[in-house]
Amino acid sequence: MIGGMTLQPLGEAAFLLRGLDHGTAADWARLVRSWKFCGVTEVVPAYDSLGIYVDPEAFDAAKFFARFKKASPPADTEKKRHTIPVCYSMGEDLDDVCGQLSLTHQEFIASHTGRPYGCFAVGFCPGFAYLGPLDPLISGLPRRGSPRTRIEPGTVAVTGEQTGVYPLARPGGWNLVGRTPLELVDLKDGYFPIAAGDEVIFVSIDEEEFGYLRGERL
Amino acid sequence: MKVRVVRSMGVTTFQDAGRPGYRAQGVPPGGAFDRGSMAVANALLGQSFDLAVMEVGGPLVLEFLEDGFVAMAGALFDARIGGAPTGLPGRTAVAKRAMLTLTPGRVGARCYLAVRGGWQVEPVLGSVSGAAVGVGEEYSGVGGPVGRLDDASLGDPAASLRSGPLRFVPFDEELDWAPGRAVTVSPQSDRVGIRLLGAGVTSPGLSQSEPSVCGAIQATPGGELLVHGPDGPTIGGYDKIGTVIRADLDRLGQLRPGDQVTLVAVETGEAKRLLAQREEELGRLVAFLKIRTASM
Repeated sequence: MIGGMTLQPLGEAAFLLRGLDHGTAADWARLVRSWKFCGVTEVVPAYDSLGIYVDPEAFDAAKFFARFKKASPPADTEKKRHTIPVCYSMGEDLDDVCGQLSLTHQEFIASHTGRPYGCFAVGFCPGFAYLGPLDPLISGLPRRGSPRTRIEPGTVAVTGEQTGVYPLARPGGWNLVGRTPLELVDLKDGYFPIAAGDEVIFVSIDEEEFGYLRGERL
Repeated sequence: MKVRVVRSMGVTTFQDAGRPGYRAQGVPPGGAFDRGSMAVANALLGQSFDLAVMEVGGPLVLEFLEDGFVAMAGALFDARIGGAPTGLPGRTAVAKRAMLTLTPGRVGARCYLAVRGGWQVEPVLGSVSGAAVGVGEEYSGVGGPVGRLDDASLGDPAASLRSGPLRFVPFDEELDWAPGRAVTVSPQSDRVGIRLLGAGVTSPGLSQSEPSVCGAIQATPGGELLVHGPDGPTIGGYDKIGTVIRADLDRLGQLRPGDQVTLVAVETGEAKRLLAQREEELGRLVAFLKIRTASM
């Protein structure tokens, strides 16, 4: 796949590196950061691409790309795993989602909690982790026709093959299937526990447990 | 020096140089959209370019609770004190209990208000960028006036208000699009993104999101161009046409709904030359203003 890689400028102070093997971007990002390559200020992984943010006076793109192409793909490191408790009965769209998928609530929950998900990127809003892939049994749902103007922090959502948790109140179009009582981001403290390359697994809790855990940090 | 916000409409926030370094956590760098005008507003008070300013995006009324100085740069808002015209953009003394009224004009989208020592706002991740300016709230600079400043008007309008094409470094995407046609700024434009209508290109979108940057020009399924602003998402799922050069980002931040603009492609080397030229010009103006302020 190395042959299909491209490095293209995003203006003068950033580059987009495309064509990495699927799901390896976070490992590549860790490797590139460890080089402390002259002029590189930030490295952002997303799925099979990297954003390289640079000081244009100091960065030599040709040299960087030559080194990148010669580097061996990063070894599969042990993934950090986060467990996120979810109260599915609080999911506003759960009935609708189960209707579309012809599943019972129990079947949906068993599938959604049944496997660890990879975090392929963090973005959309601070700390929002793009997780997946969903089991085919519960994947393929389109975004909702009209996006909600406000989705509460902690809301767990699905669309297509992806799932995620809104860490902050935001508008959004995904299908809402549950709620976590945990705080997943604290901007003031710079607290961002989930990074691209980590794994996340969901566990089902009831509303009483939700009350006990409310406001605790992941 | 302290003020109370009597009235504020539109988006008015505190801004500084932003918080680079948190993109991997999904946090956009933010910061003043027109950084040159932030620097000029601060230079008018003899202070560092990145002290916190108000980025004013709509009508604003401030009541001064103490005597003080205020400096304004950027968009040509109508500025009145107690109903009387002022020499702003520039700097002026404001007496206790006076009302400063700012009303958007026909040129530029955002004006920048600086006070001595910068507005004192609690930073988040090292920056005040995005902190709301709330109606009824009180905000202050630091300490009283250091010496007396005379009123001064900025002679020329800000460089960010100059007309002319928006230049961009092309992104090698296979899109059936040729720049050169004038596009119109949509009312659905803000610090997250400036939307441009009438480019005559659509794109279904990427299968997966990828990193973005302030100034990235993207083709959307609806046929608009979406140019990410300083609060734009760190990753996005639209095809990129190119990226507005850094020398023109301040001008991007001053585009108003209804403005017409042409996109013109330049090479990276030319973009660097234009940035150096812009920084030299801005540096000269800032140094000149600071020297004049210091000598008083």
